[in-house]
Amino acid sequence: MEDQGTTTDDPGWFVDTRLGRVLLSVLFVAFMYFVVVWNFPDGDARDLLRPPIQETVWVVGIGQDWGVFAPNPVSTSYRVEADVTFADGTVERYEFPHGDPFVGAYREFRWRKFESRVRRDENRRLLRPTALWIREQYSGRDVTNIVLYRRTRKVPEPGSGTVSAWQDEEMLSVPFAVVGS
Amino acid sequence: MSILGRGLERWNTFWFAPKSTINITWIRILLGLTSLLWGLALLPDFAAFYFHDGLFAQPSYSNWRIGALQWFRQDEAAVVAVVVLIVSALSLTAGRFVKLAAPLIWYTMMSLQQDLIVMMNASDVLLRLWAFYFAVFAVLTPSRYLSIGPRGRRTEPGGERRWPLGPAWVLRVFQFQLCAIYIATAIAKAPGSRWHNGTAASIALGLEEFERFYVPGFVRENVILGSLSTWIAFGLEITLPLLLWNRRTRLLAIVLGIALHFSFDYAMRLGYFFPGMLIGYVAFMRPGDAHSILRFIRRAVARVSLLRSHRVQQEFG
Repeated sequence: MEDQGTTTDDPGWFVDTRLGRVLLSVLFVAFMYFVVVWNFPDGDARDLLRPPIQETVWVVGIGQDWGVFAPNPVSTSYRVEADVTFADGTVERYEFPHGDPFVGAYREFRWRKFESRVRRDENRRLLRPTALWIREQYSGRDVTNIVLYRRTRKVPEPGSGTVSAWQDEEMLSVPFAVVGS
Repeated sequence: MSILGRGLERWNTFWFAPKSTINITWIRILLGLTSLLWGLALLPDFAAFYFHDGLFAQPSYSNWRIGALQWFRQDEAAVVAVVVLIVSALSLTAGRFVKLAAPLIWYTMMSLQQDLIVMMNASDVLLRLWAFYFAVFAVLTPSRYLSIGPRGRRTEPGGERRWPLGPAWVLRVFQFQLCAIYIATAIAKAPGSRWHNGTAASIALGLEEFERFYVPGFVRENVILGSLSTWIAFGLEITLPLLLWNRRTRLLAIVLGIALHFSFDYAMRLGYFFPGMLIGYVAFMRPGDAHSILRFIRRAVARVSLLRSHRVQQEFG
C-alpha cells in the first residue's frame, strides 16, 4: 500500500501554514547542517565549522560519535578487578557485576564499559572512589586493604589457534585502618 | 514551472507530504519500550551510579551541558529523574500525554546520562537522539496523531481499523540520521587495516568484555568466515545509505540492515544499539512492508521444508 492523498484533516499549524513550513524548513536545514558537520572526519574543515555550532549541539544533546570499532577494533580485552584483604588475612578477588545474556546484558554492558574507562590513565581520579565503593560491598567485614588491578589479555589472531593468558597490573593499593584495632 | 518552483515543490513533498501514521505510531511504541528498558536496567545499580556513597560522588560536567543532576545533587533528585523517565516511557508507549512525556524522556535521559558519562556508549547517544527528535515532533504535532494504538484507529464503534494520514516529517529526520551514522562509521573505519585484511570481525568477537550469546569457536578462528563477516559488515555500512533510498532496494536494505544489527546484538553486548537502529529502520518502512517480509520468510521456510520432505522421499522411497 502506498501513501495516499496530499492533505490531512488539520495536520497542525506548523505543517498547514506557509509560515509554519518556513520555520520547520529552517529547523530541518539546521538539523542537517549540524549532523553533517558534527560527523565530519578529523581535519581542518571540522575544526573550522564545529566551534560555531558546538554550544547548541551540547545544549540539546545531539553530539554524536560513531567511531565504534574504528579505525580498528582494539585487540586487547580489559578487565578491572580487586584483591580485597580482610583483617583475618584472607584475600578475596572482587569482580564487578555480571548479568545473563538476555536481560542482564543491558545491565552488564555498563560495568564492562566502566572497566574499559576506569583502567585508563586519564581516569585515575576514579580509582580511589572505586576502591572505597568496593569496600562498602563488604560492610560487616573488616577490610584492611584493596588492590585494584588492570587485567589485559591479547586477542589471538584468527586462525592462530592460540589462547593468551590474562596479565595483571596493579593500579592502586588502598590500606584501611580496622575500627577498634 | 521554474527550477526554483520545482525545487520548492519537491522540498514540500519530501518533508511535508502526509503519510500513514503507522510508522510514527510504531516508532513511538518502540521508543517508549526501549526507554522503559533503559530506565529499568539502571535500577539494580542505581545507588552505585547516582548516590553520594556510590562510585561517582562528584561527576564532572563539561560546558554547556544542561543535565538537571549537576544542579540537584541530592540522591532524591536522581530517583525523581528515573521515576519520571519510567512513567514517561510508559505514557509514550501507551500514547497518553505524549506532548509532555516525549520531552520528559529526552530531558531525564540526558540528565541521567550526563551524570554517568563514564558508563555510556554509542547506543545511549542513539536513544537520546531519537528521544530529542521525537520530542520536537510531539510538541509541534496535534495529539490525535500521537495517540494511535498499535493496530490503527477504529473508525467508528465496531468499525474497521485504519491508519489515518498525518504529518510525518520526523521520519525524514530519522532517515537522515540513520544514514549519517553509516556514513560516519564507514569513513572512520576506512583507514583501518583490519577492515581491509578481513580480521576485524574475528578480533571484535574475541573481546571478552563484549561476549553475549554462544558463538562457536570456529566462527572466530576460521579465516575465511572471519574475512567474509568483516567485509559483509563493512560493505553494508558503506552501501546501506544508498540502498535505503532506492525504491527497488529499500526493502532488501531494511532486511539486511536489521539482520546485520541482530547478528551484532546476538554476539556482543552493545547495549541498546539493536533496538535503537530498529527504530531508525521503522522510519524507512511503508505500510505493508512488514507483511511482505513475513510472507517472504514464510515462503522461504515452506521451500526449505518442501526440499527436506523431497529428500526424505528420495532416501526412503
